[in-house]
Amino acid sequence: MKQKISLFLTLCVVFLLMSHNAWAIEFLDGKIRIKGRLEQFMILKVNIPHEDRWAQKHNIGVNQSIFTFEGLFNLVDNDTLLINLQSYFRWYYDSATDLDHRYRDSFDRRYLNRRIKTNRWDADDWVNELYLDAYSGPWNIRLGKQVVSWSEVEMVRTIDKINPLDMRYSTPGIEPFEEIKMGLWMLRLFYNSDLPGNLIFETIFVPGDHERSRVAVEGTWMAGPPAPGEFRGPGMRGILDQWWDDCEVPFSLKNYKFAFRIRGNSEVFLFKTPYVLDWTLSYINTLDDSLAVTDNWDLANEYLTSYAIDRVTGKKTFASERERYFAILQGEIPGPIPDERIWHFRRYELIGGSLQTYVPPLGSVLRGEISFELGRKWNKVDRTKANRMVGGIGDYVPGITERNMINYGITLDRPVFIPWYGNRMQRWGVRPCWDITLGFFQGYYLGNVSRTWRVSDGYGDRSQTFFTFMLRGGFRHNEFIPVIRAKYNTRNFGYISPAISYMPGKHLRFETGFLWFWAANDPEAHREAKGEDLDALFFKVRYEY
Amino acid sequence: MLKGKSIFTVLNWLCSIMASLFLVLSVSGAAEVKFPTPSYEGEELAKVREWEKTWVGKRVTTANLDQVKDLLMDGVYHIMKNPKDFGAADEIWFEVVPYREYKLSSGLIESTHKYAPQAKLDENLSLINYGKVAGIPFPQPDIKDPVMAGTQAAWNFDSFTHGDATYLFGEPMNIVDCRTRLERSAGQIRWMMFWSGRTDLPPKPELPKNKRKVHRTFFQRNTAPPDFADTTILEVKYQDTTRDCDLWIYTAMFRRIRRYSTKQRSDMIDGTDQIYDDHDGWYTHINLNTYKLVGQRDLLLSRHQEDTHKSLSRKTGQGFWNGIQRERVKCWVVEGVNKDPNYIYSKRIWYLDPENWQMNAQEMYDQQGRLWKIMEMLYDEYKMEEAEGMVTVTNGEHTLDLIRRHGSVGQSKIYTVGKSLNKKIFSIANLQQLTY
Repeated sequence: MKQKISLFLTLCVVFLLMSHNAWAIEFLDGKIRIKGRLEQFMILKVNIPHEDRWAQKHNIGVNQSIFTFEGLFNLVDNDTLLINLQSYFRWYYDSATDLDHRYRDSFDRRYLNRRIKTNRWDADDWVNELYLDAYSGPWNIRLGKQVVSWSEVEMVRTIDKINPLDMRYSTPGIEPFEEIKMGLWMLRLFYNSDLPGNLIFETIFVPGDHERSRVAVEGTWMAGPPAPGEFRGPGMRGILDQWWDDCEVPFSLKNYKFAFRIRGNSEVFLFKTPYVLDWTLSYINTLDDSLAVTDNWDLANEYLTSYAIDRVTGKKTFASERERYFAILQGEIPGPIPDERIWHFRRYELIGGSLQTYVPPLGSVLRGEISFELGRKWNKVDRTKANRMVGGIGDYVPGITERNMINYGITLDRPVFIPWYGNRMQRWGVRPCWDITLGFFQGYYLGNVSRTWRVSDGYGDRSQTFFTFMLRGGFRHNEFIPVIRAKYNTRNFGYISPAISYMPGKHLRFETGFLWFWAANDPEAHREAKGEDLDALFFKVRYEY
Repeated sequence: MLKGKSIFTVLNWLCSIMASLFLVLSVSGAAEVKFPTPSYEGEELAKVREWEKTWVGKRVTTANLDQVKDLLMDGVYHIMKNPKDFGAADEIWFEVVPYREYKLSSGLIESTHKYAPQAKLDENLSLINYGKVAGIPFPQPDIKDPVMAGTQAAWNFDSFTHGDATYLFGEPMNIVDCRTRLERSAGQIRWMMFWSGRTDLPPKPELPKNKRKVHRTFFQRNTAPPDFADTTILEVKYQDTTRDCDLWIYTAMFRRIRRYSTKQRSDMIDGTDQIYDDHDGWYTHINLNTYKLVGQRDLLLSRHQEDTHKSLSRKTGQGFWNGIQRERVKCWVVEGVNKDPNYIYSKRIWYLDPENWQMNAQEMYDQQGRLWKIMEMLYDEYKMEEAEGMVTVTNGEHTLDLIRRHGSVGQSKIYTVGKSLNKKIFSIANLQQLTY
């Protein structure tokens, strides 16, 4: 009955909105402004191996219905004070598992929330943002749940690490970071100074709302293939999800997050050419939200080995491997995964800076950012121990160490006008320019990394390098916007995603595209690291109101 | 040695020469700064008034269009002759109103009288002391030399500041496909301010502490379509005519302030029929084009368009306004050719108002020399809030692609004209404030 009432109310809202014009809806002489969207987002997997068909009958990987509501409520507006209440609510429901019983049954029940059909759902998840936004003179205070954007570049983040990411339904680059960030309850304070460079001082204090990042678990689209065998428990990503669950901390002051940023705008001359630089300097002190460590070695190893055994004692496909592992472990099969708390998020600091400027000789915009992560905690591994054959995840953990890390990224944006093409095409409503963005990103671990256990990339390299590329055009007066995005890691994994969006009128938006992933790993040796299983067509239909 | 009478004779000669020189200079000086310059005077005005006896108050439609063909731009005639091709259900019409001379602000008149006598172009035909002077620099273009006259006319257009500061709400701005009748809408709140070349609002002619030598700033907050609501734009144009504009955009969807390149000014603005250079007729440095004065032409154009939300109308899918109030005006016709050989237009024809040098209309030709687009800007006079007198501001416009039969139509509510705007409006910090 509740579902019927919800459906009825949703339809009423839809009809009300469809009868409205193209503007953000206003009430009380503009004191209340609302906007939002109804969206259907579907992922159609195109590369499901035969051996994974036990977990999925149809090809629908995601079928999300999304409803968003953004509201701006003007509470006080006089000569000295302006207070608004800002809100961004987001509901969604993924019906992919309703449409495919195999898909539904392939999940461990612990990983399938009944309401949203995904692995994790907090009570305030639907509130992406809700905060009071007060202005008085040079001061601006924002109090409540917020998403912070501190980055200048796209696709890879270096300094933009206030909010954790929800990567269950998409990946950075394909969706903007802002769509996959999770809001945190915080106090944010700005001071707009009259100092040279028009400096803006910004302070963020999160008094204990620590959220872990979220990853998709085996069987769902973004996680790739299900765990080996017809094993309905967590796979490699599922175990990560379990660790992060284990790490969860209460809402407490000691779990605070503090951040500070100065933003400035300066003009400098280089070879007599003026450059207007937008720059920032930032500092973050936070608990990690994606890297868990343990100081209980024995229990952790028991946990890992148990998990590893669980994982490889699949039934049909991996029977031979199971025998192999039994042989290696000489039949010592540990008990079930222990209940005690083993994993913890530890605190680290980040110092960063960013810069963007228009470069007149190139006619391009150059963006760059750099971060220096201080004291990030890692577990050690001892690769001489016998159970390493289980895989990287089962390596022995004799202790915790600290490593600093430098990340930096540079992008160059330029609209390119192709004379012959541009002159002729514009007569047909084709945009004469193509926007091109080229990006280069690197991350360096400082110090010896041969004994640090890094599950984030799994390759054990000291550095990682990405190249990114984006090309965007426009047809029929930008009714059709084609985009190609690509990301390439020098370890030979990445993706290419051509897509096209269509905006036929004031409200409706359509988008479709293809996601082609690849990974260099041998799919037989590292089954979950396969990229090909993520290959998919995607469709989005939106009604913007 | 000079004696007695001789001294008297020499002095007499000297005085005569001095007096003659003074007279000549005064007369020529007065001729240089003859301003205002009405569109019609004397016999010409009488003829116009005689013509108006027949036409004022009349609605001109496809049926009687040929009777005023000579007073219309070719593009307008073509559209009105083929209304259904441009999305109209039956006809496109306009109303004839009497010619009215603009009541120019005292600030514009004084600035012109003060600075025009010294106005000069350098060897690159750029205005010397640009930004440090104000008013119309060449009220009487040198018509003996078409290139010089055209260039002077272009600088005149650039120097009219519309009351130095404007705050308006452009809505709706529609992109119209006349063939499919599909439309997309946008809404934009705009703030514009001149930092130099100011004629009406003190301090004149330049704001103090203008270290970066800003000429003009533009700030825009989008209100529609919904997915672009609260996306904000800041553009800064500098006095240095070799320097590209700086552009920042806060994209509400991505919550990020980003710099954008303004190098490719041939790019279309958000899918409209205008390219970046077309905004307000011509939105960047004057010396990117070469100019030539074609002559003067008597045209029916909109100079006193009443409240556009009441006076204008159109059917959905119609890319050209009905209800334009057109009056006779004798425009300066200037041809502009971009110095970039790969530029998207082979030439532009500007129709400049002889009284305040605003651009009333424009024709754009493609690289094959065909008439591609027309743009008409509809004006009305508005009283300035903090300065004396009236100035004109665009309260409506349309740009038509004659080849693709596609249009961009817009209306504006003018909030304030000639009222000081806080410099902080045009700051990067403001891009992100008050947004969702």
